[in-house]
Amino acid sequence: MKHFISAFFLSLCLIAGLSAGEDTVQYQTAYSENGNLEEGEASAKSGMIQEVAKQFGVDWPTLIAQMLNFLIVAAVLHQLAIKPILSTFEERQQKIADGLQYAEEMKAQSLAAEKERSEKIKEAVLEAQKIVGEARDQSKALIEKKIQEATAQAESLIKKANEATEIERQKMLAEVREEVARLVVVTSAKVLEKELSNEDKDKFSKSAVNSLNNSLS
Amino acid sequence: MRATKKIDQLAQKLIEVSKVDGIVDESNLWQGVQAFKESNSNYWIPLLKTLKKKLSRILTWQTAEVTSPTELDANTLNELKELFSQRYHRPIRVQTSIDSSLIAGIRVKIGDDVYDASIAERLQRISEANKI
Repeated sequence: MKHFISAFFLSLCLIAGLSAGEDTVQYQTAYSENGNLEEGEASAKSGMIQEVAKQFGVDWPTLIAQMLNFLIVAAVLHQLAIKPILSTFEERQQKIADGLQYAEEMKAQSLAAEKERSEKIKEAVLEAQKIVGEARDQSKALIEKKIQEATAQAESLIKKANEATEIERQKMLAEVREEVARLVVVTSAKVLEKELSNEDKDKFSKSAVNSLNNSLS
Repeated sequence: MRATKKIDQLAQKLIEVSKVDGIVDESNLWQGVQAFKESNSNYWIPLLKTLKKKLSRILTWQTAEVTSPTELDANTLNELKELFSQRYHRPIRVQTSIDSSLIAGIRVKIGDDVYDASIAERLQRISEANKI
């Protein structure tokens, strides 16, 4: 629309300029011939315009018709070409604006996502550090527990070994004592058998009878 | 089963009848057995078997087997006889034997009862006491 108006005013200016030139020529012609300034001016003007128009081949009805044609063509062009082109420009501009806005939004979203990602990474790093710390603590506790268990097991084994040794020692002592007692008994029996006379044996037999008598009665 | 019970009762009755002063008299018992034989009973052999078992048990519990390393005098044997007769409330016969492994002292066996008052037994007790 702006372009159409500009073209229209340009045409008017051109027509006005041509009219002014024709008046100047007519004024000069009148001044030189009549000597009267006012009349001369007027005639000079019209003479000039006519001269110029004649020299340029201006035909007023044709010019007006051309102007009308121009206006019609301009209106048609405006309606059929300029307006769709302008609307296309506006759409493109709108699209570009939308695209820029979308790009801005995307950029903002990207920044937010980046920020969120960095926060997540920080959280993950913290969580990982926490997990590593916990794992370290657990491994330490496990090692301590295993050491304690191994120590307890070793102590138990040592205790059992000591007990087994003590039992074995007691058993050996008992066997030795038993063997010694057996030897003492066997030796005593042999000695008594050799040393006791028949009289002694009779005396002991009588004494045994008395002891039986005392115990049973 | 019934015949066995009857034979057992008959054998017990024969033994009781043949006792004199609490001791089974052999002649009395033999008379009773002969009388039963003359009655031509079918239970003659089973009766003898039952009598053998019962007499063996009775003789075992009426006999004191006295073992010593040397021979015991008659006084000692009488003393033992009286002692065990009082103990078991029946007449006890004494049967002696020599065993030098006793070293000294005596061992008396009546039925399943054993009275050991020998040095060998004491040494054995000492040896047993020192075992685990």
